Amino acid sequence: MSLDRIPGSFRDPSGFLYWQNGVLLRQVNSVYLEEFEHLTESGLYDELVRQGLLIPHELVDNSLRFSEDAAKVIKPEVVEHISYPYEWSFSQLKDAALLTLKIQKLAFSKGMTLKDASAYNVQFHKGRPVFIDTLSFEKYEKGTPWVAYRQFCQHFLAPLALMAHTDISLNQLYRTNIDGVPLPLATKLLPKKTKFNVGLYMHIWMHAKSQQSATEAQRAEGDAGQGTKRNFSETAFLGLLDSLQNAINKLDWKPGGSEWHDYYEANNNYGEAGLEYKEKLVSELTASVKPATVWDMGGNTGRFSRLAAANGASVVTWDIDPGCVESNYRQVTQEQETAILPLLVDLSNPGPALGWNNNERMSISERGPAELMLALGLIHHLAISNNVPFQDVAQFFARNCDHLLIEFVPRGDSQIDKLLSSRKDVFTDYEPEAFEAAFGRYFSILEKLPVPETKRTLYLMRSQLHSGV
Amino acid sequence: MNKLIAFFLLMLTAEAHAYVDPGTGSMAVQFIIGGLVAMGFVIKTYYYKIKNFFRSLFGKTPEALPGDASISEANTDSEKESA
Repeated sequence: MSLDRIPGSFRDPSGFLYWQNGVLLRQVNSVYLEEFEHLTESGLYDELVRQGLLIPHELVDNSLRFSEDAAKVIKPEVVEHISYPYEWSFSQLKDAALLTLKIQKLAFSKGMTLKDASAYNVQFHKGRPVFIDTLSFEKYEKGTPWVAYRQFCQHFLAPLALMAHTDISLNQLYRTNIDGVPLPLATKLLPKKTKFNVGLYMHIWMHAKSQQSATEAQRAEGDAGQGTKRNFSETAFLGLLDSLQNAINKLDWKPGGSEWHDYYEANNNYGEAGLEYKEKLVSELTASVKPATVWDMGGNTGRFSRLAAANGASVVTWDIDPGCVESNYRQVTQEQETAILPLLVDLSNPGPALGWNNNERMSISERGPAELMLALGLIHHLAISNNVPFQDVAQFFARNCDHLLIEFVPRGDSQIDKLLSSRKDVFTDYEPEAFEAAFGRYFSILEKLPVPETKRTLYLMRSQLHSGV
Repeated sequence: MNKLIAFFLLMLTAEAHAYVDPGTGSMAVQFIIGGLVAMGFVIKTYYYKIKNFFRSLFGKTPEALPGDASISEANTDSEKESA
């Protein structure tokens, strides 16, 4: 029997996730049993699942427990692709924040509260944000404020405010700060004008000040937490949540004008007929592989991802441009698409393994391999813009997918001319023969098809690094 | 401002036995913010109740009150935009 505890869920003493013979299970420890039963008996669990806010689970036999202190074992529905807030677009993070507040409001109405408000408790599942930590609920002790308030501001409000008011790329601060953006840091980066926004003033500026004063007061007075009991009224609690919700709702960021956002409209290498033919080819080649999972690398706003999804695949569209990821996500929600997950990645520096023991958040490779990878109009960015030799590009793809559908963009293509116009051409190896030789070391080339009206070629390959494919 | 926060810090107990550190400053500032927003929240709730009364006169469905999450509404912000 194989047992494998998931490293990212070690902090909470209430329980943890583990794999048992390929089945994902969550152990509920005895110490949490009372709270867990209240979640069900209060009707909160049913309501959350009915509204699609919480990942559903089924109770399974206790003999499947991981350790002796198990009170119950549950089998949650599996989220196909785990993603992290530093990979989300603005609206993905905003929707995750609003989901968390909505769940907190519902929990409060049933006498419970969220004991943590981590952005990592939210995942995108079938096109929608969903809360995945079933053990985050505890009975609310009347008169107390929200214990997860600090975490909510650090994990959601501060990053969203920074993305909207300072720079869209600041969600990358999650990579250096495992518990969200510290509020004193946020106040150093936010423009002063955000002090005139009541919500941001209270929840970020005043909050940061209070944290700093608290540290000083604790130093001066010893333990500042010991005094007479004060009552935090129900109205104050609901008002706090409502105020956070207003602050989040007021934050906005619109894509457009970014480098890649209008790529298809502005790109001259394809006429409409050429693009349609390329779509037909991609669709047919994808169908021939019949992949369950597809990663569309440099997938822009997901035009080709949708062809793969139409063939029944579950697709992750990775792109470097926050505007493209944002537009793609907006389309997913507007069309209620369930098979596309748009995520942000810089392939020259993709999401690493992070956290305690480098084990809490998975690197991009740890979440693969994809059954099929699309790399359309991408190779020149890796080989020329980022100076990666063909062989290293081939190795990266071969490790992360079973099949690869890649487009070779040769010299003479306007995109290559553009890249080389501002730099010395040291890429003597950038020729189709060298490309085929390098990729031939890691892949079997199954198809090689020229794309009409262009000088480009599509290759379908099978990785030699994964057995049984 | 600092004196106000220090006052709340000394008054505060809300001994939180949370596994995630709630942060003394974060707990204290909630008493100040809670005080500031509570009145506004009450007014907003009554405003919605009055609005819903008139909506019901015209046969329209009532809107969710600010503190009410039990009614299924558009779950995501982008869904609201598209609605």
